[in-house]
Amino acid sequence: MHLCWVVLGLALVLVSVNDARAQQPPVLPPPAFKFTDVDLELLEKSNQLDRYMDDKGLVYADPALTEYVTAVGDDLLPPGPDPEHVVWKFRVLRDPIPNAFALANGSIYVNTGLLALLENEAQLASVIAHEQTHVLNRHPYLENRSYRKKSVAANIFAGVGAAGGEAGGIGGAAAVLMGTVAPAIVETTIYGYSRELEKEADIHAVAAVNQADYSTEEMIDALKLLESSHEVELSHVFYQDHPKLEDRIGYIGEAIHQTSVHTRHPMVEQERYIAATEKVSRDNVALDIRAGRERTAVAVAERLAKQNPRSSEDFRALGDAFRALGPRTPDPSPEELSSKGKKDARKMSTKLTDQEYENALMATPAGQSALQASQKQSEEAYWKALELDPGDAAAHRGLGFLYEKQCLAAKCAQEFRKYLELSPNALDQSQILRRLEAAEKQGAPGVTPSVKP
Amino acid sequence: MKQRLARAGLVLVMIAGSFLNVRAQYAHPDLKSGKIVVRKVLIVPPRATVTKSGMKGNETLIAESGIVEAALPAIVAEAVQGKGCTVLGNVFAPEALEKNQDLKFAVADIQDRFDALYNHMSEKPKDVRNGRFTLGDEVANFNPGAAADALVFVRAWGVVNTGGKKVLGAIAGVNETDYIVVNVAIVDSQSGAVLYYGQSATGGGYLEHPERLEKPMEASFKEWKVAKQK
Repeated sequence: MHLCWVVLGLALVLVSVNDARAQQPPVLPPPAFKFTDVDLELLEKSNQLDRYMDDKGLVYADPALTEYVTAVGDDLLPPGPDPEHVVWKFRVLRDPIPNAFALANGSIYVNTGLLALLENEAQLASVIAHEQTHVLNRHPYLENRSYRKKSVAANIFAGVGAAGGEAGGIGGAAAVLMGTVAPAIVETTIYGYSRELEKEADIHAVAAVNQADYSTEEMIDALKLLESSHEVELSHVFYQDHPKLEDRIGYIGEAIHQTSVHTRHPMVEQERYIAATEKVSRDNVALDIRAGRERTAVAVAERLAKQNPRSSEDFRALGDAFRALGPRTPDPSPEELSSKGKKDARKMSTKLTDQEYENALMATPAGQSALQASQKQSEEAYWKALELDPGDAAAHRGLGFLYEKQCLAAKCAQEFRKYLELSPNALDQSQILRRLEAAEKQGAPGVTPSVKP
Repeated sequence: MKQRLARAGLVLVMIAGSFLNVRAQYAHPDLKSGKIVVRKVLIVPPRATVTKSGMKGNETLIAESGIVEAALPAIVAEAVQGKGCTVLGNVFAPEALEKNQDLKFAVADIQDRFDALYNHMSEKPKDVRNGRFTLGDEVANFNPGAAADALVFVRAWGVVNTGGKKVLGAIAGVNETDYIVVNVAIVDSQSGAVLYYGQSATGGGYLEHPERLEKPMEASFKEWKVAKQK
């Protein structure tokens, strides 16, 4: 009889342990954190930075999207009160680089470039959970303290180096370089914390994502997506740092393997994510183009057009992206990705302005052939947009610019005229009128009607 | 004693030298020849970065940067008006930008476009004389600039050294004086060509007395010849 009770008791204990393991909140024990003056200074800086981003028009203004990102972020938060001096804010930054970062005060920024790259809500959740851990475990404060210590050493070294320089010593150059390190708040939050703190954030993110019933496997997929850039990346922010990424994929995989799945049907939420991020992804195409990331712009626009083949706006974005791609191929060639290719690209981008760079590319046979291909694709995409919505003024505008570049004056004039007719209060009216006049001067008297070629 | 005097002299020469270096100004050939005439300008909100340089590292002083940004439009406007140019009313007041998100983003985008070009321009500012730099004619999409002949972009970098840094500098014989450098570019509002590039600089106290920038600013437009108003 006694044995039965013991067995039953043991069984109950085992069940409760298993149950507790599954339901255990993934929160790490809250570390006792004492705020020093230096920390409070950083907190104030973070608040100032929030205001600065707002004032400078860097925050993407779309209440529906902000609400969506906030809802995803809120679900990942551990139960209980917020930590001291933390007010959670989830914001989208108008920046085409795929990155995210958190400030000490609880503001989490996700770049438009990252939203355009990710494929589903579970992937977004994994990024947000990672950033939340930085805030929960006070990483910005810890890194700031460490940075200040290093900086004091660098300044002393700079002084010694300069004094030594006069005496014929060496070391001044290195010391000056060390002394001009970017401020900690940017250096750590945007370019990454120490490897240990990043690992801590990743491991905790696995638990938080699991706890919120999202698929943890998507964390790995998100990292792989970040690895697969369409550009010749000449520098990397934290989320794109390849050696770190490989390392991360390894230990995150292990953590996922060791985590008991919280639900049998973990959420991925691809459709909901695509619907919520279609507009921001389209707007990011324009930001990519402006930032000289034309290849990424094409890739994102192609994906958008595929996902929503009835959207004239998505096809117009594709037309814009191909037009901007100009003398480049949609994917970099192996030569461009080689270290010599990267060295050359770095040199060119340092020496030449964007326009000069493009002209230099166009002067080559490969550039000419790529230009013709891009222009053809661009024209097709614009006409598809007009097929879906004949009143799409911006598609006519895009065609006007495209034909202008191809020296097809009559067609160019036709498209600009149509644009102004459809959009009489356009912001760029004076510019288009000037171009229209120039095209009309060049063009043949008999202008052909606007028809699909 | 002699050694100390020599060191102090060297520091003074370095300070003077550093300010002389930044007094550069270059005009586009068409502006110089009078082919392009600028009569009305719009000042795009200046961007300023004031950095505190101390023993515990460098940090951007966001509030102080804001003080400089707020003071600069009036100083630039006065200098431009001194050239006989009309400065169009400020449509970029913070309240106006807050109400109009499109305008805010348009300003942010044109500022980014300028900064990308500025990286090249600051490397070889002399090339402004060859008409090398342009923002591209899409600058005409910037609606607030429609009524202006040119847009004026202003970038400022200031350094405020802490006491400790100054002491260390003095010991090491390194120039650790406070200063601010202001660069101004005038851009054709239709073609996007950079028509003029001028630099001015002044020493410490600019946060308390921004008016100290007035004279160097005026001097930085010396090379800009404005045609007389008809």
